[in-house]
Amino acid sequence: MTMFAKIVDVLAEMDVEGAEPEKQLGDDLQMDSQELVCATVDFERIFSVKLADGELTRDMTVGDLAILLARKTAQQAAIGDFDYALCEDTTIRAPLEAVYEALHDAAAWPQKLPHVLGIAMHYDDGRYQEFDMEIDGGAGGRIAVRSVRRCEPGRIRFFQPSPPAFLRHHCGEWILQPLDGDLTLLSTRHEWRLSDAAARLFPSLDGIATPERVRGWLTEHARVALERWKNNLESGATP
Amino acid sequence: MSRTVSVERAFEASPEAVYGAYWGLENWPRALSNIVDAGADYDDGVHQCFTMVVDKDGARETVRGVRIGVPFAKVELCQFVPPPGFRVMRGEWRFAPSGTGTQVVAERVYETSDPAGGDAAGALLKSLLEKNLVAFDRLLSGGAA
Repeated sequence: MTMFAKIVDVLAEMDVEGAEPEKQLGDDLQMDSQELVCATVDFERIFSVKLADGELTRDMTVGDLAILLARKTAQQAAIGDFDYALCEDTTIRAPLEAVYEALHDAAAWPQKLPHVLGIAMHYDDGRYQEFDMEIDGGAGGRIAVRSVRRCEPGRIRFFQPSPPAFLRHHCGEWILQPLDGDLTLLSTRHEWRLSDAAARLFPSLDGIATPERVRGWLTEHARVALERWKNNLESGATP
Repeated sequence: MSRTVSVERAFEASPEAVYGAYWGLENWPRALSNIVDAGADYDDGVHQCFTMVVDKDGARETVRGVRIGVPFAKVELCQFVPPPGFRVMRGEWRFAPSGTGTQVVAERVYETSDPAGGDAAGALLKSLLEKNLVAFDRLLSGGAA
């Protein structure tokens, strides 16, 4: 069931009819501020997310709401007691199954993602994978990691028994959520602990401390990966 | 073709204690006398890469794999180097509160190297899983392996 369909059901329970992705909650669906407060409580309960006061607005469309709730679901899906976390996402005009298949087929990444220089698959039974990956670390540098993944439609958990040198532990998830029709929200969540080498490899610079520099590097890496998957899956072209 | 076997047992210990016993690899040789050694090559608190040395009729077998923990609810595992005779060995232990104790379900998905050996392997696997549950229940109750 798509996120949009779930939202339509919740709104129908509140006697709000006629929901379409492009319709605004206020002008089009005639929801007043009191109804938005009630909807916030219902959405929090049904989707197990926390919404800030005023996060639902009258000028928000039902499509915006679907993205917001899917994003919150991914952002609040903590894996463990790690020191740092980030979550980035993008919408992709492709069915969830196609997005999952592309992410699952790690052996084909070097042909699809320019920053992935090589994959050596050691184990793959369809659900679990173990492989070594070499990526372009920028400025001509190469970063080698070993990754283990547990794959199930809609969710791919990964952790790196051999993470980059600046990380002691690094894990995360690809979270795929169907929004409406062929529109999928692809989120990438990372959680990590810094290694002793982090301060040497990412020294404080221009007032930016090591943890924030590492976060910046990982965030940029996550955004580039999302952008490339979006481009790849929507156009079929190698970016 | 993948096959699945599943066994379950009621433990008196709490889900937290049962989860902790299964997650701590140091407990395995204490619980099961045929496990000679077990240790983690990587452990971040919810993911492990482990190696286990098992004595089987005087011969030593080494299995290598990974485990993913969902604290107090589940431990999933996959053996990248499965036991002899198996192509795939993965599964999980699930821990559900039951009164003051825990209902433990041990489930394995497996593929045998010889497709004709699936039924016999399944029966053997079920027997081993039952022994595994008994051994950890006994460990948690203060008994020896």
